[in-house]
Amino acid sequence: MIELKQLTRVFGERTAVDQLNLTVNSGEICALIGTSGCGKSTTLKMINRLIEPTSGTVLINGEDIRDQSPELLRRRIGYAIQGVGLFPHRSVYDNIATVPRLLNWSRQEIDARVRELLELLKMPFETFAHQYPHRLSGGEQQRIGVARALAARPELLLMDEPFGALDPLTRERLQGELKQIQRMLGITVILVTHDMEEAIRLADQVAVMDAGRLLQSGTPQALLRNPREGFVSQLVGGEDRALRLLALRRVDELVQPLDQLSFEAELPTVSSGMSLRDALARHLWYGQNCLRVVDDAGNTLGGISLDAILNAEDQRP
Amino acid sequence: MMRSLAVTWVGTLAPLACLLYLAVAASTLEPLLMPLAPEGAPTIYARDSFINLIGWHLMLVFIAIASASIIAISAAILVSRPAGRDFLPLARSLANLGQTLPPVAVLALAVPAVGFGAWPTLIALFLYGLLPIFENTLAGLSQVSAEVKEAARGLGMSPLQRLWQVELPLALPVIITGVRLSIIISVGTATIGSTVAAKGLGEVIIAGLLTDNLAFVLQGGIIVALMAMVLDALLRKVEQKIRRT
Amino acid sequence: MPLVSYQVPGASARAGITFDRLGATLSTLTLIALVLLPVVTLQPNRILPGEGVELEQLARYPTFMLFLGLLILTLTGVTVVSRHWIRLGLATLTLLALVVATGSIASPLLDNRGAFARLALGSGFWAIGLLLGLMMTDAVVKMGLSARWRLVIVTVCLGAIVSVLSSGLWDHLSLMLEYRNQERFWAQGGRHLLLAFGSVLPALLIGVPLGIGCHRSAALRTFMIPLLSLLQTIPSLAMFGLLMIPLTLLTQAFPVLNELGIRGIGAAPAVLALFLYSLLPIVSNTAAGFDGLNPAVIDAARGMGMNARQRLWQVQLPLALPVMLSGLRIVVTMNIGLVAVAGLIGGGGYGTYIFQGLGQTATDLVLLGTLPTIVLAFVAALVIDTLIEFSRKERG
Repeated sequence: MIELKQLTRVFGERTAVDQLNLTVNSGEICALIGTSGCGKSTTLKMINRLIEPTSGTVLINGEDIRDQSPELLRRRIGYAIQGVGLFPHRSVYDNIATVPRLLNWSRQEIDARVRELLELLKMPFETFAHQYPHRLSGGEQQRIGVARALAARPELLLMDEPFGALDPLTRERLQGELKQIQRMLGITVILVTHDMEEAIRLADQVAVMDAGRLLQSGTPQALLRNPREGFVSQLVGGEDRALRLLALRRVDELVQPLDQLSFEAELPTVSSGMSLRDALARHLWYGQNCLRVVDDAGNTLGGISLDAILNAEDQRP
Repeated sequence: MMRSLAVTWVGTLAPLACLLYLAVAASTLEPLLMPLAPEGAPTIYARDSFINLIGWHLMLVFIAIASASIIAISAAILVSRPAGRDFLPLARSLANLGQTLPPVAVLALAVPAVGFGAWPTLIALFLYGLLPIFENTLAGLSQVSAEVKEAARGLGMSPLQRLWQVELPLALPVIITGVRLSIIISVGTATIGSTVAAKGLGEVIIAGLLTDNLAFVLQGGIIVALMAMVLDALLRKVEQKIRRT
Repeated sequence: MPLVSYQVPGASARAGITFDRLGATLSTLTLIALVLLPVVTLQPNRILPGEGVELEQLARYPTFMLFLGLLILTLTGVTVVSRHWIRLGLATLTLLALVVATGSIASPLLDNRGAFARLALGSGFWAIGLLLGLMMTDAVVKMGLSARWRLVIVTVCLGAIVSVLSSGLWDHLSLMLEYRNQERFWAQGGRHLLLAFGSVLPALLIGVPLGIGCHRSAALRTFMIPLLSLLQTIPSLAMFGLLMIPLTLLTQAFPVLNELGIRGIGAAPAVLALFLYSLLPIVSNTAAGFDGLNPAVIDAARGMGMNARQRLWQVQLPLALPVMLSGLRIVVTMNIGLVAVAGLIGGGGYGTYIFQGLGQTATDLVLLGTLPTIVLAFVAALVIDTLIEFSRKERG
């Protein structure tokens, strides 16, 4: 559990972060969101002491981070940033091995870890380990950045707009991969972003910041349903909120037996893992009131009606 | 604003004042320099007036650099046009190689070619002056962004109009930097030119070296150094002015 | 490194025949030089000016005819052949043929001309040699060869020339006669390098930390950089002279310094002056190298828990190295040239020959000082270019 208590940072005249209180549960992803200059990056950097707080404390599993030297602390915490910051003079292998080497791991341990991580990220060791960063695509560089951050098996990963510089398709794919890896490893992630879609898609907890203050924090659903007046509701998007809520829910929540529905013989399909938002888009695209729901193997599970989706928010679980 | 203006001018005016003082009234320093001269030897260089020597020195530098500027800038423009493209790679690598060529070597090689006197010095100053100007002009022209050139084309400017109204004005500060470098190097090389009998301030230093007269060495050295500083400061001012507009 | 990114024109017409305007220009100039300028001159003695030997007289000798044949082939080649390695090979062979031919015609031409007569290399030799060198350079540039291959080519060419010289083929040429007079030629070379590099090491030890300091502190930078540029504007001869004075006064006050080899004239003011000149390129390039580092990389290094020392040695220095090395290139080539000037104040090195030669109007002695100085500077620059290339490898 990460606890930020009354965290404050003042730069000269300007208060960048103002008495911020936030608790992030272990194994969850927390997104800090806000416009640029709202203090979200400063908050993140106070967690690994790249910036020292003016006042307030940060506890990681009840332990004050100031009990440890900043270098030792940072070696325990993964850190991935926008622009990646890969070392251009070191190969992919050496980049990933950076923190394990700082921690004096044995050569075998490092070797095994690099192979494991590249495999986790679906980047074949033989192809990538001895490449230099400039030969990689933006998406590949960002993956290596994440691998480097995860190298020493940190329990906490800090990410500062990690996908900001990528094209929308690559960004979406990497977001999916990150979520998968995070679930698999069970690590805690604190992520800074200005992209509401990203926060909703990835986070278990979204914390909205403005002018150095925490305005509201909660699950994406909670935020979308009951945003505070003003900045938060502006950020979560008035008209789009319904669509964003649908994006958080899956088709299999609303599957009905096919015989309850009036349908035509050859229905277009949706897969059960799709979000309700995507299913709605398909309804509109095919001009159908009902679609056939299939699982990954292609077996029909039932159907989903347009009405069910439109009423989804009233009959939420 | 006033204060910073005053501060920046001190850098130019102070050495200039010292230079003028030494040029006209060096004899007033005789008591100070006396211990440095050998017994019975003159303390202040008297074979020629300092004003004269400064004049010769500057004239050599300006003739050489003015002609070098004309040639080097035209050459750089030429090789950066489509018509001169064949010559560009060689010209680039020559400019690069030329930087490794010591000025004193150029001077020494000019003597067998044209004999002693002002000519070998002029030739060496000219040849060595070409490099920084050529290289900076080329760099200045190539740093003009492709979008700006594209826009100029889109506005219907002819190639000549693009060169005069867009490329050269944008490259000018970098070109002036090249000219300044050339002038500073030339002031130094012209000093050595006195070894091949070119008139200039170097002869004061060399006379001092030959007769073991440290007083001469000091006068010559300080005057040349001051002159280089004044020129450098003035040319930097010109550069700043152009950059600002 | 402006040479590397050049796109070979007409790469599509690779195998074929082209018309190369640069090659045509160089060929025309070569022909003009061959006709108008004497390849060799006959001097009655060491000092008196020589008289050019007519081309038709030279054409009687088979080795010279061989050279002429190769020259025509090369001139045609650089004008119409599009393969650059063929051009390079032809020009290199022709240059060697020129060296061999001028050597082999010396003793027959000098027959019956008296003991003091000398055969000197004429302006034609230097002009043709230079033009062939330009053809080689152009070919090398257009082949896009990396610095290490350029270094190999230059080493091979220099080796070939040195072996021709040491085979005794040039022994009757005035330049080699002058060389035989100077027993300390190679020792002077050693001294030249020692003086040139002797100031680089202390300049690096002081300049690199100062450069890093300038990167970190704007106040230090606004003080240091103008000061060091001011030092740089002082002409070399003036700087040597101005440093002689305090050094002379010091050694008069403390004779013990004299015993340590420190004197007002000679090596001490030279090394001190070169040290002062070296600081600006080292400091400003170090600062520029550090300024140019990607902030994300430094941020990442900090975020991963590298301490200041680890960041400096493992990240900042290796990444800033190419820019720092190009500062070193400036320093080394500049110093090699300035050591020649130090010959004037008795510093030793090849400058001694240059100024002795100028004093005696002995052209060959001037050349004996100038040519090695140029070769040293050129090779040093190429070696550093190779180092820069290695330090940049793989990082794009």
